Amino acid sequence: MSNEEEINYLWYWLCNIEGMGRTTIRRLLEEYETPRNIYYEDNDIIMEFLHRNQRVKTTVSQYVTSKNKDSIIYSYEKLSAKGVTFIHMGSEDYPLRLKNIPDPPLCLYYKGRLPNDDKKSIAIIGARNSTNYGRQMARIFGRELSKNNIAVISGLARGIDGMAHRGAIEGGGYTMGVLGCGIDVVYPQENYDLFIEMEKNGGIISESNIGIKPYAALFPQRNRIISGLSDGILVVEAREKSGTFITVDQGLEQGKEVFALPGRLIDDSSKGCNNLIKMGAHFVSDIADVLEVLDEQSFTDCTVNETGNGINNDKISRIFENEHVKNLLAPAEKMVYSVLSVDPKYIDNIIDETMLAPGEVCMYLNKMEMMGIVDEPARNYYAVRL
Amino acid sequence: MFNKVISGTLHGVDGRLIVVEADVSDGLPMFNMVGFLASEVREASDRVRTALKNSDFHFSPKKITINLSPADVRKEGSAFDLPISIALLSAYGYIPADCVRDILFIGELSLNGDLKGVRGILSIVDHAKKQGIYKVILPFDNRKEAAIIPDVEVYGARNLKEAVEHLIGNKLLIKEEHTGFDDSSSFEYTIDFSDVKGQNSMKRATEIAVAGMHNLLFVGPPGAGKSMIAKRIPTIMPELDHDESVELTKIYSAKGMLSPEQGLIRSRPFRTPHHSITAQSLIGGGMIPKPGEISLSHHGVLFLDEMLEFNKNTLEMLRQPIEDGRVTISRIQGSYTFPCNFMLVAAMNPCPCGYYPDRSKCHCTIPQIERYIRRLSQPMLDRMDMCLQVKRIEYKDLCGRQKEETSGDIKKRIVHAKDIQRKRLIKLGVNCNSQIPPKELNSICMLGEEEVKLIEEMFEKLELTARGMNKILKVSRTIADLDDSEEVTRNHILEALSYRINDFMRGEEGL
Repeated sequence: MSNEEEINYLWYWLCNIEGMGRTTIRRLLEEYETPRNIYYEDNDIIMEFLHRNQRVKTTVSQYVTSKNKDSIIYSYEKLSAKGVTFIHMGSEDYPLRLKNIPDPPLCLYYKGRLPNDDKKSIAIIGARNSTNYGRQMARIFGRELSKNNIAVISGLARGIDGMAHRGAIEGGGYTMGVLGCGIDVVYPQENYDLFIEMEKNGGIISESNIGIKPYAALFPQRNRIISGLSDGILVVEAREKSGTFITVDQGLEQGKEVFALPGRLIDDSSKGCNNLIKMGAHFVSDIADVLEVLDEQSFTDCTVNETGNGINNDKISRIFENEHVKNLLAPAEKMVYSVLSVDPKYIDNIIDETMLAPGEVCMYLNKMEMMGIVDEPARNYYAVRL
Repeated sequence: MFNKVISGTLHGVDGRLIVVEADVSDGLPMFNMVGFLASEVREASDRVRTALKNSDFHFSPKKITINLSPADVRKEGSAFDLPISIALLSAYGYIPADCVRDILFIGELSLNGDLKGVRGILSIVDHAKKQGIYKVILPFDNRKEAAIIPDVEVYGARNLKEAVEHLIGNKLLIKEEHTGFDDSSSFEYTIDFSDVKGQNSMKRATEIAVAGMHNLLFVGPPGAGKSMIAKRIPTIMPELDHDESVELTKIYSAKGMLSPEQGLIRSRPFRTPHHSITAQSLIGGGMIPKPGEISLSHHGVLFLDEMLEFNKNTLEMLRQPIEDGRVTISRIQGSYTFPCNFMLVAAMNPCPCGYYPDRSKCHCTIPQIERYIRRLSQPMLDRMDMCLQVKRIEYKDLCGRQKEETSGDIKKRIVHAKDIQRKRLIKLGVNCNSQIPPKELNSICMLGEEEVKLIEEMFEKLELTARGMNKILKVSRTIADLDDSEEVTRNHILEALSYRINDFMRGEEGL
C-alpha cells in the first residue's frame, strides 16, 4: 500500500463514520491534524474527546467497527469500480475555489473531470418550477457563456438547472453538475440522458457517498458547493421565495458576484430576480454583461476560446431575431413561425392567428419541431426554440 | 284437460322460445308451477289467479299444473303471466285449443287483468319469426317494438279480456302496422357541432377520430368543452343502417330501456357513465347477465369523463371488449355474448388541480402530476389511439362571429372517408382504419421513400415505441382518407404527430 493510497483510505474512513458530521471531523482534525493520527489514536481517548463535544451520535461500537481495514478498502474500491473518484481536502486535485469558502466540503466524489481552477466559471441557477422563457434563457446563457470558455456550474435539477447544463453542452464547453445525493443516484429521473452527457462533457460531483438518496436536507448544503465552485452566480428565474436564494446567500457569504435576469413586474416567476436587481445584483440583458464583470474580477483572459476563435459574443438580441431560421421556411411556415414566441402558445391560438386550417397548422408545427426550430414544452403548446 | 301455448324469454340479447303447458285435472285443488322458475315467475300463480277472477273468469276448484319447458332453462321475468293464463283458460275450455296454436304470447298481468309491457320483446319476436311463429299477442305498450319485425302479425292487447275476446273471435284486436326502417328520412339530433365555438384543434381531432374510429383522449382543464364535444360525436357519425339499428334496439329492449311508443332506435347512442360505476354495470353482468354501458354504447360513443377517477380494475376490464367489439360473460347457466362496438372517448385532467401546464394557476409538483397520471395504466393508455391536450375556452371564442361548421358538413366528409376505408379494408375483414392489423399497415399506407425517412427520424427524436408508431400511421391513414389521397404523404404523418399518445405528459415544468 503506497503512502498516498493509505492517506486516501484514511480520509475515506474518516468521512464515512456513521453519526459523525463535518463539524466533529473538523474538530478532530484540529486536534490531531491528519486522519492517520486519529486512526492510530487509542479508541477510548477519541471517544472521550467526542463526548466532550455534545451531540455526537457515534457509539463506541460504531466507531470500532468503522475502523475495520478490510471493509474500508472494500468500500473504497467499490467507488473506482463505478468510475467514481474520491478527493479530500488534502488532495492535490481539490478545487482551489472550494478551499476558500466557509465550511468547505471535507471530501468530494466525482465522475468526469473537475473544473479548471484557472478558468472562469459561473453558476446558472433558478427554480425547478420554471417557465419556458426561463428554460430557454438558461439554455442560451449556458450555451453562449460556454462558447466563451466559461465553465457552467449548476445543480442538475429539473427546470433551469438542467437547461443550463444542456445549453453548456450545446456550446461545447465544460459544465459541472453538483448533486445533493450520491452521484450514482439519478435524480430527477428524467435527466438521465443529461447525466450520461455530463460525465462525458464535464463532470458531476457530490459531497455524499455513492448510494445516498436525495434527502431534502442535503440540498441546501449542496448549494454552497455550487456557489463555491463558481466566480459568479446568474439567477435566471426565481419566485420571491425560492430555494435558489439559499445559493445566492451562500454565494454572497463566499464573496461571489450575483447576476440576475430581469422579468416582467406581473410575472411571479421572476419576482425573485427583480428583487435581487433592486438589492444590487448585476442587471443582465446580454452575455457581455456577465463577461465584463467576470473580466474585471481578475486578469486571466476568459474571453479567448480554447480553439482560439477569440471573442465569441453573439448579441442576445440577434439570437432572438432568428433571421437565419426564417430564411429556411416556406411562406406558410414562416407565417406560423412568426406568430410563435418564447411564451408557449396553444395550438388553437396559432390556428386563430394564422387563419389556416387546423390540420395544416399541426403539420407545419410538427415539421418545424422535427427541424429543431420549434419546441413543444407541453403537448399541443408550441414555442420558438432559440 | 291439457293444453299448451308458446311464449318466449331472453337469453342475453337473444330470444328463446318457451312452451307453457297447463293441465287441469281432478284432485286436491291446487296451483302448481314447475320448470326451473325464478321467483318472479313463481309469483305468477297469484297474479294469474287474481287477474282471471277480476276479468270475470270463474274456475271450478281443480288440480292445476303449469309447466314451462324446456325445463333446463332458467325462466325469469314477468312475461309469462299472459301465456300462463291463456294456457289455463284453454285447458279449462274457455278458449278452443285451435285458437291458441302458433301464436306467441308475452305479457305481464296486473291484478285487475291489465297487461303491462315487458322487456326484450324485439329479440323474442325476431327469434319466434325465425322459428316459424308469425303471430304475436302482447301488451299494448310493446306493440310498436314488435311491429319492427316485418311479416309478423302483431296484436296489442290492453288487458286479458281483450286478448281472450280476440282469440275466441268475439272482438278482434287491431293489427299493428309494420313500423319499418325508413331510409329516406334521417334522424335529427337536437344538438349540433356548430354549438361549439372555437376549439378548432379539438374539432379537427374529433373529426379524424370519428372517421377512423380511433379512440380519443382529451387532456385538459375543466371548462375546455371536452364533454360538449364528446356529446356531439354521434351527430357526425354516419346514420345507423337497418341492421345496426335493430342490433342496438335489441340491446335497449333487453335492458328494458325502450319507451312504449318507440320503434327502432335511430340515433347513435352516447353513454357517459359516472366514474363510480361498477365493473358489472360497465361490462354487463348480474346473476342473469344484462348488457352493460359498453353494450348500450354499441355503434355509438362511450364517454368516460374524469377517466382517472374510475376504478382501475373497472377500466382494465374494457381492454378485451375494445379489441373484440363484443363481450362474453360466463355464468353457471351459460355464457352470454353482448355486442359492444363503440368508440371510446375519454377525458381527464392533466394534474390534480386540473390547470397544468398553466403554471400561473397550477402549483402541483412534478412528482404529484406524475403520480396522478400514473393512475392510468399503460395497457389502458395503449388502447387509446389519439390524444389531444385542450385548453380552457376563451371569451373571444364564445362571442366570436366566426361561422362554425355544422354537424352535417363534417358528417359528409366523414361518410366519404369511411366509404374509402370500407372499400379498401373489406378484404381484410375490418371496416375502419383503427382496426388495421399491424402487418398490413405498411402496404396499406403506401409510404414513399421520403415518408420512411421521416418515420425513422421521428422514431429517434420523439422516442416512439413500435406501437406508438403504428398508431401514428393509422391516424395518418385516416387523415389521408379525409384528404382523399391514395397515399399517406409526409404531410399527413406530420399532422398525425400532433395527436400522438406517446409522452403525452412530459416531464417538463410548465409554460
